[in-house]
Formats: sequence, structure tokens, C-alpha cells
Amino acid sequence: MTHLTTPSATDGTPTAGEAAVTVARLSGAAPARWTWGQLGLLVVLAVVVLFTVPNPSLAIGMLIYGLWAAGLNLLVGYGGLVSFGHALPFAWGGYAAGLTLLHVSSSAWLALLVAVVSMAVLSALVGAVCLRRTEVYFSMLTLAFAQLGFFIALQWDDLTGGDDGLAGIPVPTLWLPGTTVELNALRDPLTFFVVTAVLVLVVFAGLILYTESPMGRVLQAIRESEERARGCGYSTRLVQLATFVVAGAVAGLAGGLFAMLNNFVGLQPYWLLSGVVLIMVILGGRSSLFGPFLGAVVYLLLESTLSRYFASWQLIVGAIFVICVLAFPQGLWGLLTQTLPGLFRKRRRTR
Amino acid sequence: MGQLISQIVLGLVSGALLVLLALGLNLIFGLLEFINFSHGALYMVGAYVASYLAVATGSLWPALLVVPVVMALLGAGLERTIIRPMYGRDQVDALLLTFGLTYVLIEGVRMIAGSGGRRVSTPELLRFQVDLGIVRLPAYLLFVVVVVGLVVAGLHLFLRRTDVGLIVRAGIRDHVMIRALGVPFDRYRTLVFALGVAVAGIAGVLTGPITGVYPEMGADILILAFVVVVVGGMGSFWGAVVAGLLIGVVVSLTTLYASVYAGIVPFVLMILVMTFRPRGLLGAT
Amino acid sequence: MTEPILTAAGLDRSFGGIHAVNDVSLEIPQGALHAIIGPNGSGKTTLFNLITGHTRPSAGRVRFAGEDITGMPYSKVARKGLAKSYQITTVFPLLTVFENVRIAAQAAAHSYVFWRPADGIRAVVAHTEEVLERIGLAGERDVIASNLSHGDQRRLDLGIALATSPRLLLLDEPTAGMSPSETAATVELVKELNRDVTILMIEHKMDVILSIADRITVLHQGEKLFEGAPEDVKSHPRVQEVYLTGTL
Repeated sequence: MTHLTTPSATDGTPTAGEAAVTVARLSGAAPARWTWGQLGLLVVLAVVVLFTVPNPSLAIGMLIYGLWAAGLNLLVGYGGLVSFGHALPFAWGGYAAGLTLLHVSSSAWLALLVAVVSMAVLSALVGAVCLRRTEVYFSMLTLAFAQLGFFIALQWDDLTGGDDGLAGIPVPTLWLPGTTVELNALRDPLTFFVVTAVLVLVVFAGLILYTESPMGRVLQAIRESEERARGCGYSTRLVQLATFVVAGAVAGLAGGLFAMLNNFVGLQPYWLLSGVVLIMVILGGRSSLFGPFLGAVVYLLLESTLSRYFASWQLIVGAIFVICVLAFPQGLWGLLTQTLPGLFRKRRRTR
Repeated sequence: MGQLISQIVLGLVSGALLVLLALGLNLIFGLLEFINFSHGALYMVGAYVASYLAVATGSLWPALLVVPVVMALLGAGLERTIIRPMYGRDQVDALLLTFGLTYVLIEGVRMIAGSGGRRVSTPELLRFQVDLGIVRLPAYLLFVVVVVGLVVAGLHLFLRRTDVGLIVRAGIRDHVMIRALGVPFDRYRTLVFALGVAVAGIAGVLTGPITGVYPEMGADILILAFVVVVVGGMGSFWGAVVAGLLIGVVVSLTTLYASVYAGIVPFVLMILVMTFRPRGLLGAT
Repeated sequence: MTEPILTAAGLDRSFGGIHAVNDVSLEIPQGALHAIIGPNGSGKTTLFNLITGHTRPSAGRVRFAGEDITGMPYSKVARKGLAKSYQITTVFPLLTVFENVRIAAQAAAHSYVFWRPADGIRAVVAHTEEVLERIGLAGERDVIASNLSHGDQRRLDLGIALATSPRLLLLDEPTAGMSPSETAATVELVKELNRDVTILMIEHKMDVILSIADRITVLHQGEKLFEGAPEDVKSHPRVQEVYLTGTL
């Protein structure tokens, strides 16, 4: 973008993000940032889920969806790039892992490796097209790619099972130093949960490191002002593409785990699934990695309880989402870390 | 030969409906600077309102006049209440807000009208076939093309010939300038959003007799409308028109000759355009 | 004599038939503080954009530090050591003052590192603190940039450019919209910076330019009207006429 001389522009008012600016103005100085503490919170959350959620498949699903949402938030929250097609890498990971287990070997490591690596490669290609132009294009193009993936999966039914989904995925075996365990979510959900939790924690730690690294910081700077980031010498598209690949690989891993959990990969319109994970991110809050994780857990809780009593439960979810964007753009996490502490501070002062 | 021609006409019809949605998206993006994700859902709402009106009045004709007005009012109401707080916030927020609105609209319609969908009957006046020599076509399809042509011409004249259109076009090019001139910018934003939604409503009315109405009808066409906007070039009026018709016809012909690929073709076209001409067919640099 | 750090030869750019910049040549020697003045619309900002690669010239070449940079993308030009401070303040609004500068400071050596925390890279942190000290914002290091006063935001804008350790600094109206006291402080800062970095600046305020520039180019309707030392510019009749009336 070029800044051409317009008379009114010389007053130096920042042109972008005026109200976001007022949001920040409320707090004045920068709020304390959670970094590695998020990892501790995640451990606590995983333990709470393990002991309170009665349905083991739901509990494991929470971990998987949480990781998926946290990875998406690299793009949405940290990069300012709203992907409407994040179901694509999730589904791809599922198919890749499922097909590997079905046709190649029952090794869980191999299946997950195939899911992650193949999705990273695919992400690089898809991202190269989606990031050709500005952020506005990005949202539309990611959605279009997800839809393209849906049609391909639907038509190529010899491989994917088409409309019926990819069924009969065998129970994977996991090689560990000194032993091998079966990942059977039905017969031994605890093992599945623990293995998933460990994997999720490790990847989550990697995501924190990414956001704290020079590369991750540049990503956030690009969100604030791409022009200025270029002026510092950064190839901004490269940073965004790298992040797209990381988010895609994480979603691929989550999709692979999900396929192992259900021994099945279902086909459903991806805009629907992409929407769900996006809701999780916004509901939980996009200013952290833990927020989306929390959002995933809360969303799945809402789904499992509301859907029992109310057929149109998604109406409630949609309304909550709209209210969130309107009034709590920082989501649950923002509510917990900014709004509530603020209330306490006020009370203390009046005392 | 006859099959080929009727397939092309079918493609033009579905393309024409895409054009209406893409033009609305373009117009709203131009002035309000965000992608209206709820455009497809609003189109669906328009189609539902028309289906009820048609039953109540016994004909689709009143709906063709009333629905655009209702949808414009709905659009203006939405803009004034929930979209307005988004201005000045991150562009992403408006996108997310309209995405959430989509959920509310689809689920709301499902709750009121059920998930099954409704049929809309073709107006009696148009229940005949037009003989074009080689092929006979339902008059209603030709009617749709004519109506879309009129709407496109109307929009074009509105943007080119009226003072309001002039200000809207200037605003699309340079917001700062327009604000400096003391133009009541907010009112034009409301107007443009209402206009875009009204046009989507017209598309909804026209779709009814062809495919019937159902809650998800907006989702699929919205994705295609995005493809049209990208292929035509963001912000380009004639780009949207050309790309819409092109994609309509290409999909229709693929359905005839290689139906397996019909769903995939628009996206392949989009990827090609983004790779070799990222600004779109008629987009400005 | 060494080669000038920046050479622009016969730069030309027209928009729709109107020459925004018409056959302008510049030579900026190492260590100079060169100013460009001219009435609104005289092509100053377009000239900057031609140098930084934001706009492609219709004709002419730009050489920077012994290398042809004509038509090179802006980020690459920036990596070669050419930094720009903006006319419309451009900072990273929701990042802290410290992070704003740190992002620029890490660009040189640690651009695409993703395997270690950024705050742990000592050299970058030290360089950031040094720059904050220099621009006088050390006390505001944890403030969100958008909460700064206008004057401080402009200083931060300059600080970001400075933190990339440039060999040439382009300043586009560094004192625009500033109060007299803020202007004075910025003038001092620019003078101080010029001790170790070459500066090319656009400025409107005549008094500012006459007090700090060692060479001045006057642009008028996209063409170079005059170039010389401040005292010559002051006394040049044509320049006075153009600059004071804004027309010819």
C-alpha cells in the first residue's frame, strides 16, 4: 500500500484499528501475558476433564478439538487471518491416518506421521494460493478450498468411502520404549486418553514456543501492520505461509487422532465443521492458545447438554457467538483474565 | 444440440443468481470494508419470506415487490444495530459477526419452518414453454434472466447516474476524503448494506420456483459467490457479472458432460485465476 | 571520494498522463542530512515511494549502497539497510512500545527463528533498550503503542526505523502534526541521529529544514526546481515565489 498525500491524512491519525485501540486504552499498560503458565492450565484442565466428564469418548474428543482450535488460533488470533476452511486439514489428517492404518500398517506413529507430514505439504500448496492477496481473500479462499476438498472426498469414493465415510479403520498399536499398547478407545479409554493428553501437551508446548519465538512475534506484528513489518525487512507472506503450514499440520494431527478415536472418518460439509472450530476459538478467546482450548471444552459441553433438551441448540450457540463478538471480543479467556480481575480490583479500592 | 443450448440457458440462470449475490457482496465490501458472511443466509431468508407470501397471496408476484423492501429493512436494521459497532474495530470482527449471524438465521428458520424445505410454485402466467426453434425452454427461466438483467442495469445506473451512487463510488475509493468533505457517511453505509441485502432477497425470490427453499440453500451458493467475487476481481462490477455467468455456464456444461467434476470445476477455475491473475479477470491492480 | 549511498538517476513516474515525478535525479553522500521541500502535490512522497520500491518508476534507476535496487520489493530494500519513517504514523498499534522496537531490532539477525523464545535473545533486547533510550521512550516501554500521545507515536515510528540499524533513513515529515515543543525535541533527535546515519527527509516546516539540513532539493510539479545549501535556497527568488505562493 502506498500512502499518498491527502490533506486530511497529515494529521497522523492511525487509519486502522481505531476501536481496537480504545479496547486497549481501557487497560492502559499492557496486561500481564500468560505464556508457559498456559501449559500448566492445560494440565489442570485435562485432569478436570478426565475426572468429571463421564463419557470417555467425549473427554478424549475435548482434547483433540482443543488442540485443533488452539492451532487455528495461530492464524485467527495471532495472525489476524480468519480461516473458514480449517476442517480441510482436520479431515485430511483423518483420511491420511485412516488409510494408512487400513492399507499400510497398524502403527499409530506411522499413521500420525503420514497425517502430519502430508498435511504440511498440502498446506504449503493451499496456503500459497490463499495468501496470494490480502486477508479478505484469505477467508474466502480457505472456505472455497474446504469445499473443493469436500467434493473430492465425496466423488473419490473408492478411496474415501464417499458419503458413507471411511469405516472399519483397525485399532492402531502404539510402540513405546519397551512396550507396545493398543489404542482402543472402547476397551481401554484411559490409555487412549493419557496417550492423547501427552501428545496434545507436547504439541501445545510447541505452539507456545512458536508464538513466543521471533517468527511468532513477527506474525503478530504483521497482524498489526503488514506495511510496517515489510519496512523492517520481513517477507511477510513467508511468515504467514509458515504459520499456515504449522496450523495445518496441527489440525492434521488432531484429525488423525480423531480418526483413531472413532475408527471412522465421516464426510460432512466442511463449512459446517470449519464453523464449529472457529466458534470454539472465538468463544474461548483469541488472545491466547489456552483460550480456544477452553472454548472447545465449553462448546462440547454445551453441545452434549443443550442438544438433549433443545433441538435448535445451535441457535443458542450462534446467539452466544454473536454476543461474544459484539461485547466480549476476547472471549471466555478475556473474561477470566481481564474483566473479572478488574472487578476485584475495583472492589478492593472501594473497601 | 437442443440439450446443449438448454444446458447453457440453465447455466446462465444459475449464473445470473450468483451475479446478484456477488454484486451485493462487492458493493458491501467496497463501502463497508468487510465480507458479509451472512449474505447467503439473508438470501435464504428472502426466499423463505417469498415462499410464505406466495402461499398467503396465491402468487409469487407480490413477493417480487415486497421481499426486496422487507429485506432492505431487515438489512438496515441489522446494520444499525449489530454491524455498526464493528466499524473501526478489526476488519476480522465484522466478518466473524456476520458468520455468527448466519448460524442464528439458519437455525432460526429451521426452528420456525422446519428443516425439510418448502416448494414454491411458478407463477401461473409463466407456466408455459418458449419455443426457441431448436429447443423449448420454461418461460420462467427466461423471466429470471430478464429480471436479473434489469436489476444489474438498475444497480449500474444507480451507481453511475445518481448523487448517492457518486458518493458511494467515491467512498469506495477513498473513505478519508469522503469524511473530510462532511458527507454523512453512516447513512450511506446503512443504505448500501440494505441495498445489498435487498438484491440478495430478489435472488432468493427468483430461486424459489426453481429449486424450492431450504435452510442450507444459502451456504452452498455463498461459497460459489465468493468464488465469483475472487474470479471476477474484488470490487469490480462487471467482473462479478462476467465471472458469475461464466461459472454458471461452465458448471452447467460440466454437469452435462462430466457430472463427477461439476462440483470441483469452479474451484479449479478459481485456483487458476489466483495463480495466474491474482487480481481477477477484471479487477484493478 | 566514496560513492554516494543513494543515487537516483532520471526518475520518472506518471499516473494517468500526469507526471507526478519528472526526470528527478538525486545524489545523497554518506553522512548527509538532505531535505526535500516543495508545495503539496509536488511529488515528494511519490519520489520516496519510487526510492523504497512502493511504486515502480516509469523510467530511471535507483542505486543504493552500490547496488541497483530499482523495482525491488520494499521488504528486500529494507533488508539492504534502507529504513523509512512514515508520514501517516505507522506503528504496531496493539503491541507494547518495547515490542514495537524489538520487532525491528530482531530483523537483522533473527528474522525467522522459531525454536527459541524471542525475549531470551540478549543482543536484541539490549539493542532495543538502547534505541528506546535514544528516542526518549524508555519510561514508556510497557505502554501499548496506541495509548501513546501523538508526538510519542511519531517518535516510536522513528524508533522502529532506527532499530533496524539502517544505513539510510528516509523521514517523511517527521514533525507533522507536532506541537512546537515536540517539534523542537524531534529536530534535536534528528540532528543527533545524523551523527551516525545518513538521512533523507521530506519536511514542510521551512524553519526546521533551514536549521538542520545540509543540502536541500526543491521540487515543483514533479520536477527539480533547485538544489543547494540552505542559505542559497533562502535567497533563491524562484524558490521563494513557488514555496510561498504554492503556485507558479
